[in-house]
Amino acid sequence: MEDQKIIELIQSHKHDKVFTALYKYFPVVKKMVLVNGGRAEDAEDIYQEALIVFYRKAASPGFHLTASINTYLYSICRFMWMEQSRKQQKQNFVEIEKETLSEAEFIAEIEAESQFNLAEKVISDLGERCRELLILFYFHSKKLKDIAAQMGYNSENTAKNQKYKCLEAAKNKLKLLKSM
Amino acid sequence: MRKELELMETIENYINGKLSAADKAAFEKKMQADPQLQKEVQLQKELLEGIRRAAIKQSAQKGLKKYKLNRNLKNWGLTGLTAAVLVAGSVFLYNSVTKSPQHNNAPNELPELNEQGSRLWSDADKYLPLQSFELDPEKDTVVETQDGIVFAIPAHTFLDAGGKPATGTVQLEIKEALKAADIMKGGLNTRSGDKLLETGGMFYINARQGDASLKIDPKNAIYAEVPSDEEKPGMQLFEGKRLADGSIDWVNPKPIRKDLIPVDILSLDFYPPHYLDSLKSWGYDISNKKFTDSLYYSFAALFNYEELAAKEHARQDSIAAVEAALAAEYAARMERYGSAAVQEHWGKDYSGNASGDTIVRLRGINPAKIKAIWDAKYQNTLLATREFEERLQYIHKTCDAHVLDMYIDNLDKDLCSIDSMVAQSNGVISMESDAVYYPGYPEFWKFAARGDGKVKNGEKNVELLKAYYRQKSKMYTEAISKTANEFWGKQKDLDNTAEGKRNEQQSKDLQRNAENFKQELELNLDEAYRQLGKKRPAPLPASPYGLHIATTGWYNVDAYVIQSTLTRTTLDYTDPETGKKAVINYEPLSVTIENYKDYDRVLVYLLPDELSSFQRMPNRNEVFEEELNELMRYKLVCLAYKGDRSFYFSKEEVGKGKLSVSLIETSDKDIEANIGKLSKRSQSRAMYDELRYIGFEKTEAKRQQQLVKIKELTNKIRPVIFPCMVAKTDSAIVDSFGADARGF
Repeated sequence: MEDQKIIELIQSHKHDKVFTALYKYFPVVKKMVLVNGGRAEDAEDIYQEALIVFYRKAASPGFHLTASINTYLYSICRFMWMEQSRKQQKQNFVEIEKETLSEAEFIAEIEAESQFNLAEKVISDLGERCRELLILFYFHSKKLKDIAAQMGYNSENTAKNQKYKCLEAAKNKLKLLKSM
Repeated sequence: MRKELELMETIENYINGKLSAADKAAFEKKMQADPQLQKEVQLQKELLEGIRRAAIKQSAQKGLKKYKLNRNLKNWGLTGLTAAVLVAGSVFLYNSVTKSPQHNNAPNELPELNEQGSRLWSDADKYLPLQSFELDPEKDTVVETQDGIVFAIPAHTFLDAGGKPATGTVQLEIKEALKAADIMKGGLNTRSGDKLLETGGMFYINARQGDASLKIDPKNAIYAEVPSDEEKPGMQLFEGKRLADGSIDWVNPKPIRKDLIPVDILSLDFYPPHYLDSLKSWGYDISNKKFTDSLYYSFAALFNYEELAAKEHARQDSIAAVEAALAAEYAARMERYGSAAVQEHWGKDYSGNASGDTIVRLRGINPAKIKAIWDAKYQNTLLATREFEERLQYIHKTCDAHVLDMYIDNLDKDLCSIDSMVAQSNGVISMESDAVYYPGYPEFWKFAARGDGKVKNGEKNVELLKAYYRQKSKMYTEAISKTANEFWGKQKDLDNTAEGKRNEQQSKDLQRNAENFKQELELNLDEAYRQLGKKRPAPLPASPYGLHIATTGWYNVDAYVIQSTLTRTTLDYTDPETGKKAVINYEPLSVTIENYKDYDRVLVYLLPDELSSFQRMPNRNEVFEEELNELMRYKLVCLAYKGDRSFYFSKEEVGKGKLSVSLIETSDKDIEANIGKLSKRSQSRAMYDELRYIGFEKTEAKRQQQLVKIKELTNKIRPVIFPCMVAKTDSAIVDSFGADARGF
């Protein structure tokens, strides 16, 4: 899939195929992490975070590509892995021969995302059905009617009610965590 | 809706900008007055972000899984694995679930008979959407379902009614219920009898050819990987039994993992594939484990990278020095003559100074690692099983030390989990291999499919064993490399000693020849003067052969005699004044040795009574020939050696002509005694010296033969041990192969 197409799909909230396509840029990141003392799992984690950061950037209104997605993702991963290595006081960073962007291109998104880890954890800890429901509605923008049919709720209204109950549970948990 | 929920809806609409202008203004006004409301709004905003993040992660994980699978499929393609073709009709059927939900709850059309040949169908059969694949049962196939169950289906696993592997296209039917919604929709419960089960997902799989269901060969089972966020211990596989009321009872639980039965680890074969076979076919005794071990482990010396690196650096330094000098010269010439001419002449651009770390890391399993694990310490672990022995053959074939490391690093896990790790290669950087990116080893899926678990009540101290492995493999590498270095160092010393002895012997030969010549010349001169009836003048001091010929005299005679003695040709001289003649005849003797070719070495000596030492007869095409001086009486000694055996012949009086000698096996002691009796003292002393030297040469030859054997064997066995090594080895490897084997 071409870069422009990927951006269009993200901006029109058609994500189904986007992520599989985005993983084609993963190997070079994996290599970068491996040669710099990380494990494959580290590479997967960092790439996932980079996808979220990139997604935030790409979905923001008025975004247009200034470099290839490959370069974007690699630059973000490189930045994050260098940060992590620095914190662990690891030795020199070994560069993979690859073009990189300056931090200014993505630092705002990285910082924004870092605020939402707690909320994400709360959502992830919800029961599977709750999580599924919220994701279908809020992320995939599915209609309540379809969600009800797909998940076996009796009516649209039940689904809607259930959705807010789930959201409420999450909100209470988040409140609790924040007050601690 | 409750009040709290209604508030949440309003907040949500506010965040999404869905409030009317009036409502929005009112809401904002309310918010300004109510800090609690502000906080609620903030929390809800955060939650939406959290949902977004969770959703992206979910999609990303799916993406990663697809990506890995696709990659494995690609890799698998090399080993003949094919992806099943999704049958077009069922794609439509499946996709229609989301497109037109109103059909969603309509029952599927089912074939008449189920996989057990009965007419009983459950609600799950009716309501769960069918995913149908077509595959070629004679090929390895991987199938991934919509929700991510991966089935690795080995070739020939499907058996027809007659129990024979099916051929031709097979239809694979899969239904899955991994999500709570699907489980409910299928009317599935998670009960076994009256016990409640925790489910990790349910699926139905059946293969058909036409209307007939196929059986799965239990010895060649299908590997199913059900996606799960966490691995729960004690999961079991249940068989579904359809009940008359349309529900399913889960019966006949089987542990997903099979226990391993440990055997004596020392009774297993951890060598690379074909190692023992090859040695056996070359006539080596493979029951001698000491020999097979020491030969195999000797290759660990190749993995002593620190030492290799040191050597390489020394080499690089000297290269760098030469290149720097060349570069300077090159630059000077460029300035003087211009680039084209210089480059043509030099052939290489020396302006860039080439250097860098060029240590070649071997692609292969360090035998020291095998030595470390092939040890009684690992009894009662998963290494001490036939199952691991079988995998090790494949591990050797990957030539990737990291794969072996994975098995030891995960000693406490189920064998099949490690198999699947290797297959997908969640690789880490390996210190012993230059590859940092592991493409994965899909051939290990077949092992993963067997569901091999761990040794029941196995060794618990795995952490110690892991540490032991790291330590020992390093230690063995160093120790073996040290032994190899010592061995080859000693050989080098012995080479030097031999070289010294050879030089010494050579100078002795020269001395003897000079002495023999002097003595024979004296004899010949005396005789020549006697025949001419002249008195022999006293020789000029310190210059025996006619250099100082300032005056006329008898130098003419001397010159002829010297010439004849030197070339060992007959002297026939006529005195120009007196007309008298001086004749000394040289006549040929040739000695042939019967069965010459049977001996390793043959030496023939002449012991002239008139000389204080012996003469070695030159060997010309297996015939020993010499010109005999008629003034001298010769004795003949022939020696021959074959392996450790010595052969001897001697004759008191030999004269011109041809002699054929048949040697008799004689002990070295008797040879000495015979020579002692035969010859005068000065000669036997020289001969003893010669015999000692021959003895030394004999042991030396044996040593050299041994070394050649070692080198031949190591060169021959090397590609068996390291199948991935390129035939043309890099110099670093060749250098280290100087130290490739130690004595055994």
